[in-house]
Amino acid sequence: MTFSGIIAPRWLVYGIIIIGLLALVACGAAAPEPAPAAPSGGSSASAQPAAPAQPAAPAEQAQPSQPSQPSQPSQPAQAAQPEPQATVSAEVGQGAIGAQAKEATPTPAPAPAAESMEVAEPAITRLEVARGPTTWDLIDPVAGRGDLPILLPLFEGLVQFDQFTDSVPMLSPEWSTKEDFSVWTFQLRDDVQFHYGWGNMSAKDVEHTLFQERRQDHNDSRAGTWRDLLKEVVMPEGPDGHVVELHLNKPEPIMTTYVSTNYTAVIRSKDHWDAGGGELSAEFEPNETGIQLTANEPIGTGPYRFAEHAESQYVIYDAPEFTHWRKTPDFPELKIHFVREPTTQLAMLSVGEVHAAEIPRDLQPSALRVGMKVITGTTPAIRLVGFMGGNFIPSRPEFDDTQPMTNPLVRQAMNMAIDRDEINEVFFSGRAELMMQTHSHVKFPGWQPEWLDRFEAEYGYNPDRARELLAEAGYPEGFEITHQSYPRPGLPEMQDIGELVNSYWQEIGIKSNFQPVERAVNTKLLRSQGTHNTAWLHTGSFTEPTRAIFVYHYSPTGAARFENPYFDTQYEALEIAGTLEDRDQLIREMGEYCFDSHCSIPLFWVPFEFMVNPEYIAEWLTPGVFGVRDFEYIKAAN
Amino acid sequence: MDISRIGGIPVGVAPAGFGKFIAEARRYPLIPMFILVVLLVFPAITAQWIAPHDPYKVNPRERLTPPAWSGPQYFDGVEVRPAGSWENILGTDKLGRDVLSRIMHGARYSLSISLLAILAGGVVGSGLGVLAGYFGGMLDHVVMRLVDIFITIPGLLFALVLAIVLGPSFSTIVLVVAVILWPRFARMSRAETLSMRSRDFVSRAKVSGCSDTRIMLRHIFPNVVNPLVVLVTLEVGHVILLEATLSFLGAGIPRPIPAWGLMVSDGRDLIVGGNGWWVSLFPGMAILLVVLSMNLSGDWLRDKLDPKLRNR
Repeated sequence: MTFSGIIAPRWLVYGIIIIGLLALVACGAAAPEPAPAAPSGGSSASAQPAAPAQPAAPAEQAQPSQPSQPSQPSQPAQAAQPEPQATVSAEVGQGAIGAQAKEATPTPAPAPAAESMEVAEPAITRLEVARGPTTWDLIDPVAGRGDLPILLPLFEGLVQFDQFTDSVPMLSPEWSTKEDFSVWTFQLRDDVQFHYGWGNMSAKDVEHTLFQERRQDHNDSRAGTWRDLLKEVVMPEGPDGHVVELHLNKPEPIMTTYVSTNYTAVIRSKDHWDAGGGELSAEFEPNETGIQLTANEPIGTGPYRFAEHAESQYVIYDAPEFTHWRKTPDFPELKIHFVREPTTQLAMLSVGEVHAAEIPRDLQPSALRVGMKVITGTTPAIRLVGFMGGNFIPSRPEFDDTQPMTNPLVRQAMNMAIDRDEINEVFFSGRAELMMQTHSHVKFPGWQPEWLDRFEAEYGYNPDRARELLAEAGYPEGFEITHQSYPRPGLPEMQDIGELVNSYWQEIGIKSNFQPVERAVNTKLLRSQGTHNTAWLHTGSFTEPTRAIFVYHYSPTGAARFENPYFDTQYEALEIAGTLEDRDQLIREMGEYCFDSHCSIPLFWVPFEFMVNPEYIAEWLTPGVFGVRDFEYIKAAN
Repeated sequence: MDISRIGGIPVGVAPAGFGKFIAEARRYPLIPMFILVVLLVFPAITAQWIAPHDPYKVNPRERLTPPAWSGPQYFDGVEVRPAGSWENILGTDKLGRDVLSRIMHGARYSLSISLLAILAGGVVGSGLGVLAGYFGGMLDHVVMRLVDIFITIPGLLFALVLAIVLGPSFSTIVLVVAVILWPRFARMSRAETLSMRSRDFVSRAKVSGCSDTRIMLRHIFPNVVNPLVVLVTLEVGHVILLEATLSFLGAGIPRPIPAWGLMVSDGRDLIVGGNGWWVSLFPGMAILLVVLSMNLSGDWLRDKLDPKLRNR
C-alpha cells in the first residue's frame, strides 16, 4: 500500500472522527445560557375554547388630509415580468370572511380620529420582512393570482376587518341595505386617491372592480360566487359620484364580507385599466394583456404603493406621493422577502437583515435568545382540521358504504384515538384553541355552547373506547387507510402533527400508512372522488362559516370533504336565508349535524405567530389571518 | 553472507510477534472496515434485537431530548431543555423517537437499498454489456447508444423526476437507483468483454463447439467479474449518498421510515441555535463515515484485484 493509497485516507478518517467528537463535545456542553430578554407578545391560552379578546377600537382612522394632485401621472416603477408559478385550488386566495354580519341597518360613518401628532422617528426608514413564498408570486388582483398579504399594503376594500375580525368602514364610510338584503348601498369616501396620480376613487372604480371579479379567466373560486350573486352595479350619482348600489340576484345578509379586503375585492383604478388600450374593454373575456398590465403596474389606494417586484425574491413598496387618508405608516418603505427555509429567515432576523420573520415555534427559542420578540395574531388564524375520505353523497357512483370511514362509529373512534391535549401542549405550548367541529367558532354565527360540554364524551382522548367503537363497527382488527400529509403555510409543524396522529390511529389498530404528498395529489384525489380509505389533515383560515361549509360540505363543488344531502339542502337554504337569525339557525343545525355524525376530525384554531426585532418594532396589532400583514399599523420603536 | 543485509542496507527482515500482526494488519483498511461493520452491517442485521427502542414509537412529551452527555439548557433563569438521558443516548427527534434506534434501523434501509439497487443495476448492466461486447454489431450499437443517453442525463435530476412521478417508496428508490447505475456496469463489462473476446481461450472454446451462452457465462464473465466487484464496492457509497440525498429532498424513502437522509432533513431546521442539532448530526455522521469507509475499502479492493497495483 502506498502513502496516498492507504496511509493518508486512514489519517483522514482519524481526523474526521476527532473533529466529530470535538463537535459533539462543543454542541453538548452544558453551559448555562445567558439570560436574554423575556419573550413577549405570546399569549397563553388553555386548550379549552376561550372567548376572543374584546374588540378594541376600530382601526385607526386618520384625519383626512387634502390630497395633493400630481399634475402629471408618473410612471410606475418597472417590475419583473411575472408568470404564474402554480395552480390554485378551491381555497387558496380566498379572503377570510371573518366577521359576523351585523349591517342590516345603516352603519354610521366613524368619526375620523386624528392621527397621533407625536409619531416616533423610526431608527430605519425601510422595514424588511421575511416570509415564506406565496402561492401566487404575482401582485395581480385582477385574475385572482395575487395572495392577500402582498396585495394588502397596496389596496383597500370598501370594508375592512379590524384586528378582531369585526367589519369596520374602509373606502365606504357607511352602508345600508334593504330589508330583504337584495340591494346594498355603499357610500364612498371622496378623499381617496389612487397611487401615481391615477386620480380620485369614485363609483366607476368600484363598478370596474366588481365586473372584473366576475371575469371568465379569474383564477379564484370567488369569481363564481360573484357571478351568482351580483346582478348589476348602479351608480346613482354617475360614474364620478361616490355612491354605488349593488343589486343582487338573491338576498345576501353578509354582503360586507364579500366587499371586504379579506375577500380580495380590492378596488382598482378604471382609468389605469382603460389607459392600457381599447382592446381591454371586454371585461368578461379572458384578457391576458390587461392582466399583465395590472400585475406589472398595480395601482391601488393603500398606505403603501408599489415600487419593485423580483419574482420569487422580494416586493418593495414605498410611501405614496400624498398623505394617505387612513394611515401613514411609521416606516415609509417596506420590503417583503420570500424566503423558503425557516432557518434562513432566522439567520436573516438574527443578523439584522430583516426586522420581522415567520419563525416556526421550534426555532423561536433561538431567536428569543438573541433578543427577538414573538408577536401573536389577535385571532386564532389557522384552522387545523382532519378529514376522512369516501364520504360522498349516495347518488355518486363512487359512494361505497362498505368503506370503513363511511361508518360514524369508525369516525368517532378515529377522533377519540387522538390526544388533543398532548398535541396542543407539545406543538403549541397550549396556545391553540380546541375546535368543536369543522366550521364553528365562538366568534362566528351558529355557535352552540353545548358542544363544549359534550366534547369530552364524544371526541375526548380515550383509546380503549375507540377500540370498542371499532369492534362495534365490525372492525375489531382495524382496517387499512392511507394518511396523506402535505405542508401548509403558516403551520410548519403540520407534518409532525400528521405523523403523531398517524401513530394514535395505529395504537387503536388502524393500519394507517403515512404518505407525505404534495397538496396537488390530495386535490386530485378529491376532485376525482378517489378518497376512499384516505384520511388527511388540512389547514384553512379563520373564515366565516358559510365559506367553510361551501368548501368542505357542499357536494356540487365536486371536491367537498364530507358530503351529505342534508348539507346540500341546508346550504342552499342558507344561500337564500332572509334574516340573520335564519342564517344563524341554519349554520347551527349544520354544526350539530357535523358534531353528531363526527363528519371531520376537528383539532385546533391556532394563532399565527411571527417574530420581530424589538429594536425597530414596538407593537404590531394584526389578526394574522393569511400571515404577516397590516404593516401600516406597526408602531416603530423609538 | 547475511542475506538480510546487502550493502549495509537491511532487506527482507521479517517481523515477529505483535510486530508481525501489526505489519499484516496494515495491509488491510482496518478502520474503514471496522466502521462499516459497526455502523452498517452489524446494525442492519441485528437492529431489531439490539436497538434500545422501537424506531417508530413516538413519545411527544420527550421530544428533542438532547444526547446523554448534554446538560440542561436555561433561558432567563428557567430550564427550557432538560439534561440528556442515558435512556436515549443520542437524544430524541421532534416526535420523541430515539435517534440511535432510528440510525440502527436506518442502516438496514441504506444497506438493503444499496444491495438491491446494485444487484438490479449490475445484473441488467453487466448482462447487456457482455452481450454487446461479445456480439458487437447492431446490438452493441443500440446498447451503447442507450448507455450514452442515460449517462448524459444528470443522475440526481433524473432520480428526482422518476421518484416524484412514481411516488416515494422503498421500491421506487431501488428502481430509480438501478436505472441510474446500469449504464456504468454495462460500459465496464462491455470494455472487458471486448478485450476477452479475441483471447485464445475464447477462440479455443469456440473451436471446441461451445455455445455462445456457455462461452459468455463460463469463459468470459468470470474474467470480467473482478472489475465489476470493485465497481460494486465503489457504488455502494454512491448509492447510500444518492438515497440519502433523495430522502433529504423529500423524494426518497417516505416518512416515518428511519432513512438516514430523511433524518438529516427532519432536523435541518433545528441545527441553528442548538435546539436539536443531534437530530441531523448523528445520521449525517453515519452517512459520512459509511460512505468514506466504503470508498476506502473499494480503493483497497481495486488495488488488490489489479495485478499491476497488487504489489505496489
